[in-house]
Amino acid sequence: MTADPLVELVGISKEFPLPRTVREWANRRPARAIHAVDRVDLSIAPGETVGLIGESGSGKTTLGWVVARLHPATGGRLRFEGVDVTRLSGGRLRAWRKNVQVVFQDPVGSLDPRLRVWQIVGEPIRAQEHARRAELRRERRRLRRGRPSNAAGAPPSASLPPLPPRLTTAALRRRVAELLPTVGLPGDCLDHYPHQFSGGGRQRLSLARALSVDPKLVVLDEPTSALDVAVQAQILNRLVELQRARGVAFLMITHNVAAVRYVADRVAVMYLGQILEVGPVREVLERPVHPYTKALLAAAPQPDARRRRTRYRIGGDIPTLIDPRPGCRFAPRCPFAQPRCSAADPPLRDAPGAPGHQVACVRAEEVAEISPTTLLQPAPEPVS
Amino acid sequence: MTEPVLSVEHLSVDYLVAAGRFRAVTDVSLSIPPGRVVGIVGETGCGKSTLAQAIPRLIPEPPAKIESGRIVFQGTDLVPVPAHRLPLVRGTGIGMIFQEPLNSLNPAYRVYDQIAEAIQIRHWREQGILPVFRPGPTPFDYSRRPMPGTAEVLSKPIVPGGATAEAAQRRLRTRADYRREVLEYLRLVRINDPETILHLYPHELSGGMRQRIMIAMALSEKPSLLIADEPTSALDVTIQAQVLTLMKELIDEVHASILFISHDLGVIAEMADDLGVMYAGRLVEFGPVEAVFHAPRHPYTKALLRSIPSRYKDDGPLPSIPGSVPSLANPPPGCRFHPRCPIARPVCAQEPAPPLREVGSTPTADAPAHTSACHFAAEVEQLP
Repeated sequence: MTADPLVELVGISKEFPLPRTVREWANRRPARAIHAVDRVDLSIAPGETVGLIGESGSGKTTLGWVVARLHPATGGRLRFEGVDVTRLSGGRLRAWRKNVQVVFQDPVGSLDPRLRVWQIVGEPIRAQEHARRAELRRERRRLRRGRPSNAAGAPPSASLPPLPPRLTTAALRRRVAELLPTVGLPGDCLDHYPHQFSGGGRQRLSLARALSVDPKLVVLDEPTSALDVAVQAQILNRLVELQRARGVAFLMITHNVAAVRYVADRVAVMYLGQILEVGPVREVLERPVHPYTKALLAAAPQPDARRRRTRYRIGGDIPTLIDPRPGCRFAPRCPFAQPRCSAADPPLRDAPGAPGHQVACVRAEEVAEISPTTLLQPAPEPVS
Repeated sequence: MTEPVLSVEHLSVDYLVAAGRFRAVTDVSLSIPPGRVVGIVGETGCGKSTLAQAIPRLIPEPPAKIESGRIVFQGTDLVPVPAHRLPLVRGTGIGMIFQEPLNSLNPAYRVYDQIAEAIQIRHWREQGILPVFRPGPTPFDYSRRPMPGTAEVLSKPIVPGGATAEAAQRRLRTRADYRREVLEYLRLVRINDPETILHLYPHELSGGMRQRIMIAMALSEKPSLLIADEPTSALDVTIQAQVLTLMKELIDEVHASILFISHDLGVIAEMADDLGVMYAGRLVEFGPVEAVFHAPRHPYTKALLRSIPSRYKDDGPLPSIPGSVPSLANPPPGCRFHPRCPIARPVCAQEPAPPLREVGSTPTADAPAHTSACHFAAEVEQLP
C-alpha cells in the first residue's frame, strides 16, 4: 500500500433510523436503526482496484454510496487525497463530485429513457462545467470585494481569473463522440436512446457517463451482475484496459467472486455492515482466513462437471441489520464459533504470516489452515 | 432405453408482435428420460425461458405461437390440446419452479394456504373428484370391434368396488390432515420450525425460504416432470448453495425428472445430468454434462466456457466472444453462430443450419449421445 491513499475511510458508519414505534415511544426508548455500514476502515490507493464482495444486505452498496457522497455518513471520516470531505456541501461538493463517479447497478433504471446518448454521457460534463463556472464566479466576487477601490484605473477584470467560454452543444457532442469508442461503443450513436442498446451496451453507456469527467475513482456497483458470461468478459476486459490507460481507481462492488478475481488488486469481504477480511486478491481468494470468506468461496458454484455431488454445510439465513448484537457478525452461522466470538467485536488485525492481509477473527491462527473445500462435505456414494 | 417422460420434437415457437416475428425457439428437439436432470444453458434472449414455458403451454398465445413440432408428455402430444384442458396437465403432471419466488407466491395467502391448495388439488384428482388429464377418447372404430354385448354390461357392477368402497375412499379430509401433510412437505425442504412458518405471509420470509416454499408447493403435487426456470438466480451465493444442496438431495428422494434452466454455467454443472446449450433460439449442443463441459464440440459452447473469468488481471485479458447476440427478429442465415465463429466458412452461411449430429460417444442405456450442430464439429477440439 502506498503512503498517501486516494480515499481513506476511518470508522465510517451509516445508520438508517427506523420510525419510532408506539411501544418505543410509550416506553421512552429510542428508535431503532438499521446499521448498514458499521465502523468500516478502508483505503484505496490511486489507480488501484479494490473489490468489495459480500451478499445482498451486507451493506456494500451503501458503503459505495457513502464513498461517492451520495449518502452522508452518520459517523467516521471520509478523506479524499488527505482532505476531509465528510462534511462538504453545496457548490464545493458539486465541484468535488468530478473526482468520484458511480456506475450504478441497474443499467435500465439508471439511464433516463427520454434522453439521448449525448445528453446522458454529456450530463456530468455539463454539470461540472456549471460547478466550475460557479466556483470561478465566487472567486472573482471574493477578489473584487477584497479590493478596496478601483482607483488605479485598470479595468476591473484585468487581474481576475477569466471565465471560460460556455460549453456549446457542438463541443459537448464532440467530446462525447470522442469518449464513446474508449468504452467500445460506436461514435455515431450519439442520437440513440438507451432502449436501443442491449444490456451490455447500456452498461458501457453508464461507464462512459462515469468516465466523462475524468474521475480519479469510479465506484462500480455490480457492473456485470445483469450481464451474461460472454458479455461480462467483454466488459471486464474493457475495465482493465481503461484502468491501465487512464490510471483511474475502481471500487468494485459485487457478489461475483470470479469477476473480482479478474479485476481487483485488493479484496475486502463485507458481511452485515463490517469488513471481515481485506488483502491482496490472490491472498484472500487463495488463502482465505475468515470462516465467512471460506464459506462464500465454497458456495460459489464451480463450472466444473467433475466436482459434483458436494453438499454445502453453512446453514442459516443472513440475520437482520437492525441494532445488531456485539461480537462477530458471522458467529451465529460460523461452524468454528466459540463463546468468546460473541463477546466483543473482533478488531481487524494482520493475518498470521501475510503482510497487508487483515482479518477480523479472534480464531484467525486456528482456522487459517482450514481449506474452503472442507465446508463442502462430500456426499455418500450412491449405492447401486 | 426407457420411454422418456417428455420428448420435444422439432419445436418452433415464434412471437408475433407489431415489430415483426421473433423466432424465439427454432427446431428444438430433446427428450427427458425418467429420473434424470436435463439442464439447458444459454445467454439472455436465447429462448430458454420460452422453451420452459412452452412445454406446459404456459406461454401466452398470442403473442407466442407454436409454429410446428410436438411436445409429447407421457405419450400425449400437448400441442393440439385445447386451452381449457391444459390446467389438467399442470401441477400433478408438470410442475414449475419459477425464478422470482415473490412474484409467484400469492401475497394474500399464508404459507399454509398456498401449499394446502396444491395438496388439495392433488387429492381431488386422486379421488376422481376433479378430472385428470387423459388423452382425448379415440373415436370408436365400429368396423373392427362389435359393440359390447348387452349381457356383459348388465353383469358388471356400475361402480367398481361397490358404492361403500367409494364412500370410504372419499372420506372427508379435515384441516388437521392437511396441516399434517403441509408440515411434512415443509420438513422435506428442510425448514426449521415449520409450525411458525405455516402462518406467515410470503413477504415475511427471506428469499431462500420463499424458494423452499415454491419447491415444497411444486413437490406436493407429485409431478412426474419438474421444470425449474432459473430457480436460484435471484438468491445470494450462500443461500443459492443451500437451495442447490437441497434440490440435489431431493432429486434422490423424489423420482421426478427435472428440466433445469439456468444462465449460470456453475449452477448447471452442479445440477444437470445432461446438458443442452442454446444459442439464438437453437439447440447447438446436447450431451452428458461431463462430455459437454470437458470436450465441447460446438464453437459456441467452447467460447462460452472460456469466457468464465478464472484468472487474475496480470495473467492477460479474458477470452471473450467478439460481437453480440443476433436479433431473433432477423437471425443470420445458416448456422446462427457463424458471424461470431472462429472456424466459420462460407458453407456455414449458405447451407441451412446443421441438425444435431452425433459426435464422440454413442448413446448408452442411461446417457444420451453427445450431439453437436456444427459442420466442423471435429475441428472444435483444436480451438484454443
